[in-house]
Amino acid sequence: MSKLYKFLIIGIIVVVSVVGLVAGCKNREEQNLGQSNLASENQIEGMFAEGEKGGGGTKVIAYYFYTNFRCQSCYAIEKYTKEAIEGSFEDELTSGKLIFKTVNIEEKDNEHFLGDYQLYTKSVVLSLLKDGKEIKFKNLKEVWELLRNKDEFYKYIKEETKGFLDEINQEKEQ
Amino acid sequence: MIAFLSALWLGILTSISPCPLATNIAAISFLSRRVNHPRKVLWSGFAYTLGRMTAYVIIGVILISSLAGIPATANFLQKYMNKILGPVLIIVGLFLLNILKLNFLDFSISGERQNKLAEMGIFGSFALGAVFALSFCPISAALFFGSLIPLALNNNFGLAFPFIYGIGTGLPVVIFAIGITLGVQSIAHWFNKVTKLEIYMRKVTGIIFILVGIYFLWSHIIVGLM
Repeated sequence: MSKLYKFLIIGIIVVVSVVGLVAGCKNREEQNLGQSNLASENQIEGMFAEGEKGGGGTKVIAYYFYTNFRCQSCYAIEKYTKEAIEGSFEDELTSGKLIFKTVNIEEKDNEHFLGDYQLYTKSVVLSLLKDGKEIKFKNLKEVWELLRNKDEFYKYIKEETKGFLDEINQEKEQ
Repeated sequence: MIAFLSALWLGILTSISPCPLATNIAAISFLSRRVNHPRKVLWSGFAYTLGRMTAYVIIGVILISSLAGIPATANFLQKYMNKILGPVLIIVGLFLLNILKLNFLDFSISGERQNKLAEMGIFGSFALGAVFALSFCPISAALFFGSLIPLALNNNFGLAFPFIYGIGTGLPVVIFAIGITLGVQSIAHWFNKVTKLEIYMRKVTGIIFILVGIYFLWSHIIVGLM
């Protein structure tokens, strides 16, 4: 084996170890993030139960669906959606009329969402529940195309969510 | 016409988004490694793009003829192709570095043919394009299954859409590869190192393939196991 090969192989091993270390650290960060997601999910579950008692199960759920593999754009969509909803619908979130939920569809219990909402990638889906029963849902497909334009993204999420919330208000008026 | 242009734009948008960056880097280095033969780079670029187009058209046929549903196809490809990609890239990388050799199982392949296989020219580029196209990442899945296929389903010339989309996804990669070939060549002329250039480029490509392979192995298999 020539010197060049030995040099190359050693080089690869060094690079691989460095990449492994960096990736390892990044993964730990992701795990932490995952845990904080889990915490917020539990919090949301609590709100969900409360909302059900108070509002008779009539509410809008804004889902963000993800898988084990997560990319930069995927994090951005989750972040922007959360910001748009928390920034515009604080009262609805507190009253339990609106719920934001992040769901990993690769977990066994959540696999049904794939078929329920015909999911083909990480998605934001709005679901309208009346007395605990889903009467309408919408996959906000444009999030991927608006990702480069934060203001338009916020506006899109805000308008679509408002449309769903208005339907609850109309039902109540009737 | 506008619909066809938007198919091309969706393809370009897919290609320049950060998500397929790792595979694009691998493809650019693979195409531009024949740096002393710009014409071969160009032909490999065509083959790579054709590989992508073929893969997208095949999925298009399956979906337009309703042989399988959009969610089922999309999730199957995202779940399994990305898992296969890591080991495949590492093996190809080891071949490019000559660490793995084709006669390791004592096959009686003649020297000439073995060289041709190891060169992985036009056919290799085609196969690479097809495999990379099938390895959907979240954004390419969103744009292909969410925007392009609905366009194709509502048009009489449905299959033209994945075809044009394929051109769009290959275009930036091919332009980069040709740019790098011309750039590296002009630098090499300054240092009179042109003859040895292809050997180095092949090694660099091998190393890039192994690194991208490790990234895929890590992010799609190992992280899922932890």
